[in-house]
Amino acid sequence: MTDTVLPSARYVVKGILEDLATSIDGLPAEALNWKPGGEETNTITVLVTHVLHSTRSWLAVAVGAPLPQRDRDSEFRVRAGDPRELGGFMKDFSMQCRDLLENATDLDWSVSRKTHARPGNAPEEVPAAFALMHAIEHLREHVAHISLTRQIWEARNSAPTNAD
Amino acid sequence: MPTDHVLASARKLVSDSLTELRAAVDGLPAEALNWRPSPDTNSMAILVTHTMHSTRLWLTLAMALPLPDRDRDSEFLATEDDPAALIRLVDDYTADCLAALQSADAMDWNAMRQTQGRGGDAQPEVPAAYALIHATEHLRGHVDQATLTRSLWEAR
Repeated sequence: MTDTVLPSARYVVKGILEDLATSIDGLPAEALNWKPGGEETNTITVLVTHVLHSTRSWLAVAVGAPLPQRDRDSEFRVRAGDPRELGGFMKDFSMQCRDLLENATDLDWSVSRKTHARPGNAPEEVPAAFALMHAIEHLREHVAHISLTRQIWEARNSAPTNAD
Repeated sequence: MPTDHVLASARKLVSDSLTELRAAVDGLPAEALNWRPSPDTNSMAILVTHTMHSTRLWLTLAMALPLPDRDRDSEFLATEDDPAALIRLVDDYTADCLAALQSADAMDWNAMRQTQGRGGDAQPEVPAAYALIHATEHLRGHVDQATLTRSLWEAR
C-alpha cells in the first residue's frame, strides 16, 4: 500500500518553504537584522538560518540520511550583510530539505533514529515519525514568526512620522 | 501509548502546542485581547479563535470523527473583552482536540477524507496523513504568532 505520510510531508514542506521565500523576498538588510520586540526576540536572519539548519537536520533524521554538520549556537549569532546571500542560503537549504524527502522511499515511521545533539535532557533517539512531524511543525513555527515580523516591519516603516 | 508512531507523535506535539497557546493567553488583561501589533496583523482573540476552530476541525477529519460546525470567516472577526472567556475557549477546544487524538490507538493514514468548506482550488478529499500533519503544523505556526504577539504587547 502507498504511504501517504511521505507525499503529504513533501507537499506541506514545499508550501511552507514557498511561504518562507515570500516572507523574505525584497527585504533590505536593515529589516533582516531588526528585532521586533527588543533583545528577547530574534531577527529574520537568525530565524531563517536556524530553521533551515534545523529542518535539514530533522528531515535527515526522519528519512535515515546521514546527519549534516550543525553548530546550533552559531545560528543565533548570524547577521545579514547582503540580502542576496541570505536568499542564496535559503534556496540552497530549501532544495536540500526537499531533496531529502524526494529521495526517500519505503520508510518505516516506527524506526528509532539517532538525533543531532540537543539541549537539556532530550532523548538521543526518536521515532522517524516524530522527527518528520517535528521538522514540519518547527519549520512552520518559525516561518509564521518571520511572516509576522515582516508585517510589523512594513507597518512600522510605512507609518507617517511625527516630524511631518 | 499507541504503537502507531505517527499518532503518538501528533499527540505529543499537539499537546505541547496547546499548552503553549494557553500560556500565551493566560494573565493577559482585556485590552490586550483585541490589540494588534500592526493594523494588518491579527489580534490575540482572532489568533486563538481561528487556531482552535481550525485545529479541532482538522484533527476530527484526520481521526475520521464527525466534523464540527465551523464558520471560518467569522473567526477573523472575533473580538473578546473577557480574558476568562478566551481561556475557556482554549480549554474547551483543547479537551476536544486531545480527545480526538485519543479516540483510536491506530489509524489508516492512507484513507481519504472529505474536507469541508475550503475555498479556492483546495482538494475536496485529502489523505488522513495530510489532515494530521496540517493540523499539527498550522497549530504550531499560530501558537508562535500568539506568543510573539504577547511579547510585543508586553514590550510596547
